[in-house]
Parts: sequence; structure tokens; C-alpha cells
Amino acid sequence: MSSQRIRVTEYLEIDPESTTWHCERCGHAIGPASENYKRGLLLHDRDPREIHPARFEGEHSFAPDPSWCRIVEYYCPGCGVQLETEYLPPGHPLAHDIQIDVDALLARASEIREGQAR
Amino acid sequence: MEINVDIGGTFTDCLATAEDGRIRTAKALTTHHDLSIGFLRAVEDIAADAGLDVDGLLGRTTAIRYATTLGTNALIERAGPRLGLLTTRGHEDTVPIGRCRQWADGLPATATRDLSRARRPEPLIEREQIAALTERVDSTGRVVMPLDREEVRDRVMDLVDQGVRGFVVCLLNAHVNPEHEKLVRTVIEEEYPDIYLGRFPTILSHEVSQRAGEYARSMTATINAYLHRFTSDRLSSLRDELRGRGYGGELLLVHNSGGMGSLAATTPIQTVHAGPVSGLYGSRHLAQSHGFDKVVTTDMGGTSFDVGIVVSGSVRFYEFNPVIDRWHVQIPMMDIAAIGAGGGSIARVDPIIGIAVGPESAGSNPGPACYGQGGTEPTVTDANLVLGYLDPDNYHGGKLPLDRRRAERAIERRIAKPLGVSVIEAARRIRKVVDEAMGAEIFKGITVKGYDPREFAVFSFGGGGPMHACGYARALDASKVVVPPHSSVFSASGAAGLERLHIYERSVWMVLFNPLVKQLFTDFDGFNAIVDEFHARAVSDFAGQGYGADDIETVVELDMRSTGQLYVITIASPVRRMETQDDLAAVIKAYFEEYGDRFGDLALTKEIGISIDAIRLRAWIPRAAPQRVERAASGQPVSAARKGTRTCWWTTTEQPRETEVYDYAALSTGHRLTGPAIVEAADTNIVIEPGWSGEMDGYGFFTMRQEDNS
Amino acid sequence: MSTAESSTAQFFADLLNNQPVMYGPDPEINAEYRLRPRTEREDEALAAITDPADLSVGLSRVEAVLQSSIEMMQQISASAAAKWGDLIVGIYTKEGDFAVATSSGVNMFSATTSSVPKFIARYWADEPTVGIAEGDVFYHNDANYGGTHNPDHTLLIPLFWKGEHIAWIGAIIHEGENGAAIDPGGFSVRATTKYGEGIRIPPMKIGENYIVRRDVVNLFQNQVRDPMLWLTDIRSKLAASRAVERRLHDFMAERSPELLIATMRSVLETTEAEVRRRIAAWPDGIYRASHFADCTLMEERLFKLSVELEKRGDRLTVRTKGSSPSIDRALNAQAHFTRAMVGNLFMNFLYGDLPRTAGFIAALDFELEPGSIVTADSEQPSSLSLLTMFSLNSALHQAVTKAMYAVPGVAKPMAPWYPQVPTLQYGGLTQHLQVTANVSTEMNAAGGGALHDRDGEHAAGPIFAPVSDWGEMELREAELPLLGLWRRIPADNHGFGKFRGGASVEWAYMLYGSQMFGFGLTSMGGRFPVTGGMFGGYGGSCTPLTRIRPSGGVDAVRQWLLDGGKGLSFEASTMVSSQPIAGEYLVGNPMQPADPRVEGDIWIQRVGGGGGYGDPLERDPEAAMLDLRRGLISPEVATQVYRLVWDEERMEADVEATEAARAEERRARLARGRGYDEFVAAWRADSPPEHLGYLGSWDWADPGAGEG
Repeated sequence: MSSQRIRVTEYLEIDPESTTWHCERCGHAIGPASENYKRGLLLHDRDPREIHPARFEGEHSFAPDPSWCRIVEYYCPGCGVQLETEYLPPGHPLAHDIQIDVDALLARASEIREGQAR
Repeated sequence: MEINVDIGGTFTDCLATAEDGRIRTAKALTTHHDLSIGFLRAVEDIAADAGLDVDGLLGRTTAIRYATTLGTNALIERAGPRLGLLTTRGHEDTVPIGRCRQWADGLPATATRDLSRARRPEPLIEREQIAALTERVDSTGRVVMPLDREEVRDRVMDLVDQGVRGFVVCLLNAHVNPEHEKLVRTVIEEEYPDIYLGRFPTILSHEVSQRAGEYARSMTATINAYLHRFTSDRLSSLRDELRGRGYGGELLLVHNSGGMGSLAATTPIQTVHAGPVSGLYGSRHLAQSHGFDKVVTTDMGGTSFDVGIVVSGSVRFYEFNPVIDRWHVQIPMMDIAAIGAGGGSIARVDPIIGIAVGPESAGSNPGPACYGQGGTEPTVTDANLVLGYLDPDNYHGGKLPLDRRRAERAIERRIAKPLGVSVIEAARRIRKVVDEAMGAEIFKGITVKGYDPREFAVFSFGGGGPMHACGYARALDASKVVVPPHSSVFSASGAAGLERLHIYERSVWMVLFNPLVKQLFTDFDGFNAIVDEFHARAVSDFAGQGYGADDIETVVELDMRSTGQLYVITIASPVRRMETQDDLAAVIKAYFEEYGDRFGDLALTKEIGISIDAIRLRAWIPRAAPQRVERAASGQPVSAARKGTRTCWWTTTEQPRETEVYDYAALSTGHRLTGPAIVEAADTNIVIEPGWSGEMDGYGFFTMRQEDNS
Repeated sequence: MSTAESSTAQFFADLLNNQPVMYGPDPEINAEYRLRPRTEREDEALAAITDPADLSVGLSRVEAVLQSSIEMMQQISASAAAKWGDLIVGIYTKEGDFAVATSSGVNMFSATTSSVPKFIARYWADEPTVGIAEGDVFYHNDANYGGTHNPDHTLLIPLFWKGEHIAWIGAIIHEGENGAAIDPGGFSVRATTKYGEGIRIPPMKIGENYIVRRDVVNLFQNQVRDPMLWLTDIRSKLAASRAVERRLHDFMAERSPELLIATMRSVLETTEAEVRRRIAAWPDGIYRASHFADCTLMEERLFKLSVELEKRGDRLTVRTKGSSPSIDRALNAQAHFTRAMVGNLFMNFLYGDLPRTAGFIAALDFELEPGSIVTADSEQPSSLSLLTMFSLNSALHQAVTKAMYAVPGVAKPMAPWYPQVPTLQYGGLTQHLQVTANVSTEMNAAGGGALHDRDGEHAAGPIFAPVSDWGEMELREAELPLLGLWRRIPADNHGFGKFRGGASVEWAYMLYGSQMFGFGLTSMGGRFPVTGGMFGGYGGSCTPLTRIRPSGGVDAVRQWLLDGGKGLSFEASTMVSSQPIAGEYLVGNPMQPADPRVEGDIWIQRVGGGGGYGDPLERDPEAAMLDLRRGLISPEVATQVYRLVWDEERMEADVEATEAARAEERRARLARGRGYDEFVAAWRADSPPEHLGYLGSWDWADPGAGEG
């Protein structure tokens, strides 16, 4: 029987047999599901003005102030899809945002898949 | 002979009153591609019954009152023309935003609780066809920025290039100073004279409504423009066709304001939802003839349960800012609340209340499971069938046989089994829930207007109404329900009671007293000028329909509010004109009285100021109530009307009962039945529950009373 | 212990414990969010119900009664906020749990005010000078005893039937003006202690036999700048509550008091059970998100709102550790408000099909650290707690979406809804010589978050009241000294993504027709966006306040407009860049106290858009093209963010070239992206930058942080 991955976010799946995170788009194996998926991605520190255009020079430019706010972008090393963005003050710890209880997930795998099918 | 027609979504109902007072009704399927076909088929049936052909009948007809769903359908189906909207620069997103609440307008309350499901409907005018004009008028009418004619020309040409074939113009504060709107039309007419592009309507918002509120006024103007072609073209061709077949009278259109008028005296938006409104408003004659001055009409069809309230001499049952389809508009419309509770409403298991019914409906296709057309969901009709209230071989006069087993299976699968109860018990609960939901809707409709439900007579209409009347009346603590004759052609029957009516209204800002600066209102001339202007327009409009000034009755209404409050209270003004301080005092006192009556004196804060928000003149041509003809008793005992018995289960008793079944057509004056009993008519059944009795009077009114408090 | 000793012990116990100097907020009551255990009466009532369908009958009736009443209350209230939806009517069990609230209105009130009737029952029922009897009228606004903030007023009456106290009926309205020392209108921007926030009314009786004492109302009125508002709305709340009472009396006469009692208890229990059941379907785990708010009212400072959700079985534990500590600004929020925000998210965004009731938060577990800005104690100022709570919502929505994505059930995964309230505050003498002070309704134009399967709705209502009416510009101008120069959707004012967030408006008001009038604004997002995105989507942009003071005053503006308004661009940033009329142009923090302004002043402010969902490179090129054609995005964003390639002439997308550009951008991402450890090494700061004045945790060693 081929393993059926369990979708956990828009772009993340967990393979219950290998208990690994995968990119839902390209299948790239990101890392162990018991760990922080971000560790298996590529990260980029984005000047927010590249995304939210500034209207003028200086402060209160309608863009986020780059000395107050950066956008950390998370990419899949396989296909380059952007899985997540995080708006943070420069240098702030990155959130470990999804910490799945893998054993519990496996125990309920078929029930969860059924819930997903609906 | 007078003929009333109501064109509904499924059926075209016709009710004709002969010179001798005899009433004949007919129902034909609505022919959407050409509404006159269905209409003429119904007329044929009536003519045949009268021993005439269609031309002969029409030759003797003096009035035809016509309520159509043309407009409603065109709106819902987005079948109208491509229009352009010209509006003040800086406010071109007003209509797309729709006051932010727009996503919820026109939806049942159950669908407006969850922001994740907020979704606006298809617009009537696409964003690309909304053009901005540089101009501005302030709230006093002062021009702040002039209109640039060249820019108007450019924008209009752009829109025409995009295929626009009609213009709506709504500029801010045009209801106070319409000059710029008029100028826009002048430019359009210069650029596109009528002959070149044929009929090319340009609707100016201030000509449609003189009330403040740019979004609502835009939508009112837009709907008028949208429906312009449907009403003027198609209705005038219908009128021509009727003339061709011998009809020498006028074609009167029923208005959703509760009146009617000739084609020329009807704006398209007034025809929307006119059918249900005519039924409601016309019912007041029926009610008055029975001595009721407060009536709640209930019309239960396949999909929805409509509730309307009529109170003699009151204006509380008007909605001055109604929603038509999904759009807030500014026309005075009779207020009808609708909930998704009809014969086709689907029942399902609910985690909180056990069983929920509707608003999802199986409609007529596939319809209830018992129709055998592929419906698998249990509906209210399925429950009624299982409980024994319907004869499967006699539904719609036998034209639609019902399959009891399918009904049982649907109920079992979806409700009985999950809840662990019998099919009968599940059906009983479905009925209880839907009856209570309808009762609650009526309750809300009455109490929100400040009335006491116990003072109302409940009139039950529609295919489903009399089947559930005892159930929902109980929820109101109403002790009496009346099933009028011809109840299944509710709207058509109501139209018989309509009068020609025009309503003129305008937003104003008149502060009657300001306690902060101790000032009283002094601009009596301004007030009187508006009333006089409205009166002159009424005389002119009715003259066009062949009536003199003396034929007209009028009442002045005022929308008033206390300082700081949002909503207005509408009162009938105690004075026609203001000449003295006594007049001013009378108006203020009338407001206090209405306010206290509606909300309780506790809620009244006299200390704050009062202003008039809008002045309205209602002008109508009164007519005598339709003649009522009393039927003689048949001389037969009530048992002669008995058809047999059927096993029925009732919500108030454990065991089933062999229940008497009667033929409605055979019931006569004075016949009295004790519940439980079923009375079968051609397209409805009257269900008399245990603890209720019913009696037929000489006018065809069947009144049901609760005998005890069980 | 001897008799003598125990009586002495009793003496001292009485002396020290039973004669409080003041009846302050009860921490035990305030910490309660579980349902009280069933009373004997409730057991009895539930047992008396033989047909479960009767409970549905009961709920149907109660909801109809409440809805009827709230509509009436809206019509007769003076409060600006009430007119447009910031109110609620509901019933509480006798024990005090909020059982059923109206479908419309501010739902979160149902989770914050149970403590008020509980306080009354504990302290006033047996207090000889107070007591609880039929006809009593109780009032409250002090958020330390329950509720959200002081401008929200609660009026309660006990529902009796044949001598038995059955339930409580409550009406709550956001009134506004509260008599704060410096700031009119109820939002005490400049308060540093609770004493600067105006009148604080603990639960108290203000009337008996349904008659409110005029001297008590006079006391209230004497503290505030808008005595008329208070008078009118105490009456409107009482009238609405009495209408509910009357109808419920009828109902109990027709059916039974047992049915009403059973209905209330049943709704609470079944809602709680159903919420637990739905949550149980989610994957077990811990889900975290943080959001950063950029203003502490009187200065620009960055403070953190941090959310951690732990889901195990049918338990969902909500934690806020790491959030900013409490500060001497009116931003502190009590724990019951924090819990109510969670309830609000569930009620308005996940499970709108369930009744509005305290059963929602009873289904959850809360572990909120004391000393935090989201667990204010009773000494701290809190009239603007809502700003903190709204910022919290951004983090909450992200964390909840991550927790529920795998098995959403009836809910729809989505990006955060714009939660702030950049709405015009105003006060003074109008052109009609009427005195007014209140808030306008711009907040109702918040942009909706993008969903997993479609774009968000533009300007569709605030997070706390699903159906909210912005009203009409013409009505505003008729009543207030304002000229609405524009209110339109500007470009780039939403979160970009595969599905974009709903956009919102930029509004521009000029003071026009009065020389004695003030403008104010309390919002966030001048430097740090208020919403984040979801799963690769971007958040909203920043929304500073633009103020123009023309040198020649209103007369200069009048002339300029009459001459055609040359250079009037209908957009803030171009007005500032081109300065078409001489004057002072200020762009700054969207937080300005409501101070008197000069006629001719123009204030321009954006309400923010919702967050975007998914990688923008996955947005359908045709959809992005439509965004561009409609001016929702600028060409800059179309190119930079969406990598859209289009034909300028025909304004049509070149799908092939777009796909190629996107493929190139993906390669560029792979080239510039850094592995986790390498990235952190370059990125990490061990403490926050000085200039942020940062408040909140900043700890790389915290297990909630990806290890550094």
C-alpha cells in the first residue's frame, strides 16, 4: 500500500510512513515531522518595501518601516514555492509555529484523512 | 368584470370578480418567455367557466390589475442591460462597497453570522462601468466644485465604447441640488440624441428619489434603469395585445407600495415584489370586513414563508429603506418578512437543537422525496405526508401522486436513525420545529413594530399556510386563525382591494426644537411649500389618469427622530400645513404619542431635540370596498361534506387517531368541525389540530379557534 | 480549641474579613469561564422536558424575542456606535452564565459579562441595603468587574416569575463619552492610570420597580460631557430589557418557567460539547503565532502579542506568554476580554452556525500569565484595551488556522481579517448648534482575509460584529460639520497572495461648517502592518495618518475647489508629494487624540485590507491582471510581487511570459535563500533594537522559538 500523505497546511504534508514533512507541491522531503519544518527550508530576509511600496522617502511612507519590520520568507528548496511569511522586528526569534504530535497524528491517520475527504 | 392577475415564479394566479359579485379563480403555469401566454390561459379558464370566450370576457372587463415578477426575475437572473453609473469623483467605490453591510443584505439571518462566508453577489453594474465625474455639492446644496462638461462627455463616450446602453447618474447631494445631474443628462442628450441609439435611458437619481443616502439612491435609480426595458416595452405590448382582443379598459400595475397605477404612472422599481405586497395590502379589506383592524398575513409556499402586517390607519408596517433582491433602496414598500420555511424546506440534524428546518429547500425540482423526482432529503411535505395530513392520491387535485415510502425512507435515513427515534416521532418533531420557526418569525415581525401579537388576527394563505396554521398560531398565543376564500391565490385576491396611489417624499433637515439653544422651528413657509408642491404634483399625476382634484384623498406623513437617534419614526401629521405654534406643538405631541405607543413611554427622552427627516405626501383615489356576497347555506349537514377518514399522528397526542376528512368545496355557511380533522381543497389542506375547531361563514371565511390551552 | 478561643477567633475573622472597606472586583469571579455546575432547579427543569423538540422551540422563541428587542434598541438609542451595530441583548442564567445572545451585534460581549450578574448575586443579593428583587435595575461599565472597556455599558434586570428569580436580562451598548480627564468620546488616549479614564461604575442598582433614580442618573451625567447620551441610552436599554421581560413572561405563562430554564442550560452545555467535538478533530500539537503592534498611544513603541495553542484530544489550551507586560497606558486588557477575543474568533469566523453563548469559551482552556498586557489587574488603565485585543486577533487567527487546517470541518481556513479601527473620532458643536461627541463608522470597512479558495471581501465589516453598516456620506454631512472629500479603495491596500485579501478604503474628511469641533483617531499600523498573511501570502501594508492644514484655512480650500480643485488627486500620498494647496502636510502615527481642529483641516486615513493567502506566484495571472486593471494593485506590485507580464496597450496578461518570469523568480528564491542555521546566524539579534522601545519576550532559548 502506498503511503498517503496527510495535508497539514496549504503547502505541507506529512508522510506517515517515514514521518517526514514534505512540500505538497513538489514532494521534496523537508525534514522529520517531529521537528520544526522551517529547519528544512530556505529563508530570506526581505526588506518590506520591496513588497509594500513606499510612497515617499523617510518614515511613515505607507510601507512598513524596515528598521521596525522585516519579512522573513520561507521557500521550499525543491521547487521554490513560498510556504510561509513572517513579519518580525529585525533579529527577533523565528516562531516554531507548528509542532505536531506525530504519534497522535499516526494513531488517528485514517480518521483525519476521512475528515479531510469531506 | 374585474380581473386580478398575479404572476408568480411557478404559477400565474387569476381572480375575476363578475358584476354580480361572483368570484372565479384560475391557476396556470407561468410562461417565463412570454408572460402574457400564461395569463391568457388562466383567462381562458375563467371565460370558459363563465360561458364566454376570451374576447367576450375581455370585452366586459372594466379593470385588469396586474402584478408581475418580470422585474424580480430580471434582477435575480441579472438579465438586464449593460448600464453605466456616473458618480462623484472620490466616491466611485460607494456602490461596490455597499455600506459594508451589503454582503448580508437580502440574505436570511442564518447566513449572516459568519464573516468567513461573507460574499457579495454579482453586481448590477460592473466596476469598469462606474465612471467618476469631478464635481461636488455640499449638504446644503451649495456647489463646492463645478461640473466639467468635457469630462462628462469623455466619460460617457468611454462607457458607450464599452457597450453601455443606459446611464444612471447619482451625484452626492443631488437630492438637495440637482443641477449637476441635470447637466449630465444635457451632455448625454447632446452627445447621443435619442434617434441615434434608440431608447437610451438616462436615469437621474434625484428624479427617482429625493431622499438622502447616496448608496440607496444609486441602487434605486439603478434598479429603475435596469428594469426600464422590461416594464415599458413588455407591458405596453401586453396592453396592446389585450386591446386587440377586445379589452377597452386600463392595464393597472400593482405597486409594492400597496397601491397601483397605470403604466405611465408606474416606475419600474415599484413593480418588484408587488405580488406579495398586493396580497398583503389588499387583505386589509378582507380583514376590515371581518371586524379586524390588526391583521398578520402568512403565506407559505414551497420555499418561503412570508409574513406581512397590516394595521388600519398606521404606517408602521411600511419599510422605507427596504432591500430588493440584494440591494438597499429608498422606496416606501410594504414590509414583508420572509424566512426559508416552506413545503420544500429540508430538515436536518443539528447538534444544538436536535432538528433544524431550512432555509435550504428542495424546491420543486427535485422537490420533496415523496415527489419521486429524485429528491433524497426529507422535507416538511414529507413529514406532513407521513403524519397523514396529505392524501397521496389527491395532491394538487391528483395531478402529483405522492410516494409515502420515499418520504419515510428519507426521514429515517437523515433524521430518525441518527437521533434514534421512530420515523413518526421524527416527522412530528420536524413539524414542531418548523411551526415554531414560523411562529417566531411572525412574533418578531409584530413585536419589532411595537405591537402585541395577541391583538392580531392571523390570516393564513398559500398552499402550505392552512396546513400549519394551528401550529404557528399556537406559537403566537393567537387563539384564532382565518383561512380566507381563494387563499391559494393570495396575491390575486388581495389586488382586488387596491387603490390608485402616489407617494411623494423628500429628505429635509428641520429641527423642531433645540433645547441647547432654546430654539423652536420657524420655517413654516418652507414646510408648507414642500407639501403644496407635492399636492400639486398629485393633482397633475392623477389628472393624467382621468381624476379631478376632488377625487383625491391625501395624508401628510413625517419621518421624525429625536436628536442623536438614527432611525426615524413615521407619523401621520396632525396638520396639513403649519401656520401657528399650535400646529408645531401638535406635530411634536403626535411624535411623542407615537413613540410612547411603539416603544413605551419609558424609552422617550423629551429633553433632547426633535427633527423632521423627511416629508411625505400619500395621495390616493379612494374606492369602495369590493362587494361581499353572502352565500346561502347549502341546507346540508356538515356530515355531507365528510369524505372519509385517515390515520393521522398529532404532535399533542401519543397514539395515532382516525381522523375525519372533509371536502372544502362542500362546506357551507355555519358548518362547524371539531379537531382533529382535515379539510381538503383543490390546492391546499386545512389541518385542524386536536383542541381546535373550525367554522365556515357565509363569505367563505373558515375560522379556526383554539378550544382549550393544550 | 476552647469555646473562648474559638469565639475570639470568630471575633477576629469577622473583624478582618467580613466588613470590607470596598467591594472591589472579585478575582475568583473574574477568573471563571467554565459553566457553573447545574443547579438543582436546572436539573429539575431539564428532567421536566419530555420532548427534546421543545428545547428547539424554547431557543427559537428566545432568539426571536432578543432579536426583536435589539432592533428596537437600535432605533431608540442615541449612541452612534449602537446605531451601526455595537450593542447586544441577551439572557443569562440565574447563576450568571450568559446563555443566549442576539445573532447580530457584538458577540464577544457574551463572553465577558457573566461576571457582572455573578458579582451582584454574590455581594448585593444579601446586602440589606441593596438586595435583588423584581423590578430592580442594575448598571455597570467598569471593565475591572467584567465587560470590555468603560465605554461599554451594561444594564441588567432580574427576570422573575411568580416570585422566583429565573434569569437575568441584559442590554449592552457602546456609549462613548465617559468623562475622561483629557480625552472626550470614551477613548482615553492620554490616561496613564485608571483615574484618568472617567467614570467607572461597578455593578450597582440604579432603580427599583422599574424606575431609575433620577439622582443617580444625574450623578453619572455630571461626570461626562454628553449628558443627553447617557439619559437617552439608559432609557433605551431599560426599555429593551423590559420588552424582553414581557415577552418571556408571556412565554413562561404559555409554556413553563422550566422550559426557559432548561433551554438556557441546554444551549450552554450543547454548545460547549459541540465546540469540543469539533476541536477534537484537529491534529494534536502546539501552534504558535505572534503579532506586533506599533504604538502605545502616546508614543510609537513596538509591543508583542503572542499566542500559543496546545491541542490535545478535545482540549485546546490558549496561552499568551511572551506577550508584552502591562504598561501605564490605557492599552491593558483584562483576562476576560482576552478570553472573549478567542470566543469572538470562534463565533464569527469558525462556527457561526452555533448560538452566541458563553458555551464557546467554556469549551477551551486558558493559561494566561499574570502581569501581562492581556491580563490587566484592576489598577491599570484599560479604556483602549480593544486596540490590544484587536492586535492579538491577528496572531490568534494565524495560530487557529494552522491548528485547524488539516480538519477544518465546517470552518474555512483563511488569512487574518483586518482587525483595527482607524475610524474618525469627533466632537464639538455641529453646524446645527447641536453638541455631539462620538466615533464614526469607518471601522466597518475592514478588509476581509483571503480564504483558502477565493479572494477576501473588500470592506466587509469589523471582526467583532459581522453585519455592520457604514451608513451614508450624505447623512453624515447633513448631521456633522464634515465634507467627505473621498472614500475610495486605493492601490495596494490589502495582502497579496495566491488569493488576495479584501481591500479597504482611504477616507478623507474636511472639517467644514464649524469652528468648534475636534477630530481624533486611535489606530495602529503606522510602521508595522496590522495583519500578517497566511501560508506564503503577505500581510497588509502600513496605514499612517495624513493631515493637511491649508494655510488659507477653509476659505482657501473653498476657492481652490471652486476653481476646479487642480491637483486634487483623491489619494493621500500623491497629495503629500504634490502639495496642490499651500499648507502644512503631516504624515505620521495614526494615533491622534481628539483635540480641537481648524475649519479646513483635512484628515486622510486608510482602513486596512485583509491578509493574503498562499504564494503570490500561484495567483492566476488573469486574476492579477484584473486587480491591475481595477487599480487594486500598482504596476510595481504587479511586477515585483506577482511577476505579472502584460500588454500595456490592451491591458491584457501575457500568460506565457508571466509563467516564465515566475519560473525565474523561483530560481532566484533558491539562489538567495539561506539554510536555517546560516540564516539565523546572520539574522539573530539577542536583544531588541533600542529605537523600538520594545515590550514583550525576545528569547532565542524559548522552546517556542525555532532554535537559534
